Amino acid sequence: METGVALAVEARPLVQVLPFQFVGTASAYFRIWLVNLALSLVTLGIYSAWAKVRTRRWFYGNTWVGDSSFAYLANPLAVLKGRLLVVAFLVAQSILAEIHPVGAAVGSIVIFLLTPVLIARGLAFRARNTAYRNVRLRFSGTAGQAATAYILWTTLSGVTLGLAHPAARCRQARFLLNNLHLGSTPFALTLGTGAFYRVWSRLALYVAAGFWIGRLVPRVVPAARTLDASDVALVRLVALGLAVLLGIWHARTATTNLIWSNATLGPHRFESRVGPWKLLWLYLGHTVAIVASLGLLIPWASVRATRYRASCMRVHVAGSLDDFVAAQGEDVAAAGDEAADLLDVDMGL
Amino acid sequence: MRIAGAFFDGTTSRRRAAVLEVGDDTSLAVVVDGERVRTGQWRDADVATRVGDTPRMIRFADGAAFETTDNAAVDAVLARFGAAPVARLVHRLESAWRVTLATLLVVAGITYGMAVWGVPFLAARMAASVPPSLERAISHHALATLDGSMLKPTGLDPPTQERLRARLATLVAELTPRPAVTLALRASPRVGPNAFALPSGDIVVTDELVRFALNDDEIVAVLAHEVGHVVHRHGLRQVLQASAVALVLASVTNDAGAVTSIAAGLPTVLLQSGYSRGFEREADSFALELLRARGIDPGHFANIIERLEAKEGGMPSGLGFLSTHPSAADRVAPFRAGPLDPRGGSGRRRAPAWNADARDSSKPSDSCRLL
Repeated sequence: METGVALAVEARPLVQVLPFQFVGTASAYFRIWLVNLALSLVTLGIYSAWAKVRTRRWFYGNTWVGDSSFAYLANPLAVLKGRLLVVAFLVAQSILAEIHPVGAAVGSIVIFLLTPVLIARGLAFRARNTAYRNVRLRFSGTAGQAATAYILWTTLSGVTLGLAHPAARCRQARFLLNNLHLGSTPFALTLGTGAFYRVWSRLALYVAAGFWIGRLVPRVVPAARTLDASDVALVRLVALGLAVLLGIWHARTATTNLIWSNATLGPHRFESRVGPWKLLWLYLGHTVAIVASLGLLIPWASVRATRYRASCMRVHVAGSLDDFVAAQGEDVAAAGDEAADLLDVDMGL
Repeated sequence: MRIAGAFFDGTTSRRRAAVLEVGDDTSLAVVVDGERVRTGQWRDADVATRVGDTPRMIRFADGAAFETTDNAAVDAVLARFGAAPVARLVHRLESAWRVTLATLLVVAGITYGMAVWGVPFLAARMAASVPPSLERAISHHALATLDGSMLKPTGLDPPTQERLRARLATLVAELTPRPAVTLALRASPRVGPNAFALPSGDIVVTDELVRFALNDDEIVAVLAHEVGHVVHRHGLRQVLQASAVALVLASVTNDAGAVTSIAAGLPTVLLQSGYSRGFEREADSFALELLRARGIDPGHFANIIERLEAKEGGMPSGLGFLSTHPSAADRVAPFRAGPLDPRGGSGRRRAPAWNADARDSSKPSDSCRLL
């Protein structure tokens, strides 16, 4: 373990920069993953709840900041209950969709109306079961706020053909962080919409580059001179499409960096430096490796990606990490957690 | 026994170096700076199960916790005072490479067994418990949807239509239980000469196939194959098997991130086409029995399949594992062998073990045929 580098900033309390470190190895996770898989198969999926908890416990327990690691505390039985509930609901809905279109439509509306509740509860469950130095996280966001951040802003983003997307990301990040607490110490994100638009404005550069490359390639590359009009149009379309995809990838990674580099936890602040191209290269390599190994390298890929992502995060500790005070909170059911997994809502870490 | 670690008091995040002292009488005490901050009995403490080499928490009722990375020492105490063996078993499975190798074989074996026998068996059992009325309701709209896109109203003259309907009715007349099949004749230049069965019992036969057939017996032979799909409820079983495969794959790959969903698509395609070939063989063997029972020469089926193959061309060699149908050569062999076959098989009275022949075939064939 490296220790944090101490820096004195002005005359204020000593600021220590502590890196996030992931110390788990692929060979250790491979065995846990394989046993999870085997027991889940043997028990017809029942064990998958325990598998999920053990996996999270392993990843959290191997992620260190300073002298302590994170801990995941969920009860597998709660996860199993949540899983069964979600599966039962989805099965009922898909059967209904086949035999009774009107009933299915009603079901879809119910799901739609429940989504914000599930998002809020899912985030609360995950936060409540995450601890650092024996102090749990707490998420206080309401279903109403979730509806605004996710349903309303996602809809607005769609209606405006993505023009509102940076604003939506801003609202969602503020919803996630401004409702999160470590014990009784709040996280905060006071970032305005403008910063998000600045990050996403680089997409315009990518679009312009794609446009010009698409125009120039058929003229400059000798082999391309013989192409007919429809082939040229295809080349332009592919160049533009690729440029947009790369631009979106770049902007998304930069958004993660933006959010976490401006997030605070009480007097402490964070710093995130994920390299978009490094991450993309990592993921592409993982995909090739997973396919070539018939899936056996999935654990290796998970560990490698987690290690890289952790290495990009730091916390600037002002003073000491000893002063977080635990808050009293009630238990939260896990059904929302499963739903949040399905909907892919997460803290972005 | 003394275990080194850290103590958290349950109200703040303050981490203090501590020692856990475990007495022979199962008493325990957490000592910080020479002071016993928590005392109690081992059985009252909540000892977390071991996950790899991650720090281990021993929690007290008031929220305080002792944390240590010395997992071996905690395990030794647990072994001495007795602990739930199940909880320790999982870590043992996870820690020895020899066990890992065995687990790998078990997983590979189970995956193979599930894919080849388990999923088809469960789907067949589940399909058997679904009432046919529900199945008909499920596919109620399927034909209507197809009518709006790929299929056009039939252009065949009414006497031909009536004749074919009567042949289908005679074909299934003596089956028990009698399958609820109806003939749906449709024109479809896009699909070409083809036939397929919907779970509802609607057997769609294209005008192009009726014109392609040299005689009515060839069409009846194709109908017998499609009745096989309906009787064995292949439509429903296909859906159930696809859902099962999707569910298993999702649970296996969910922690590797979105990239692997691309990788997961490949085994899905392979499995589905494998299942589909199994269904085709089942429908073929059903058709063979039915045609023999009705005194119709099974060779008609072989004839029309071979001519379709010649017309449309087969799958490139070596890509048979992607095909939804077994190769034409493998399919027609059993139909040629019957006693009614006017060509080669006149002297033989029984078919060879065609079932076994068909099963290990992996030769190429047409991938897009619906027949």
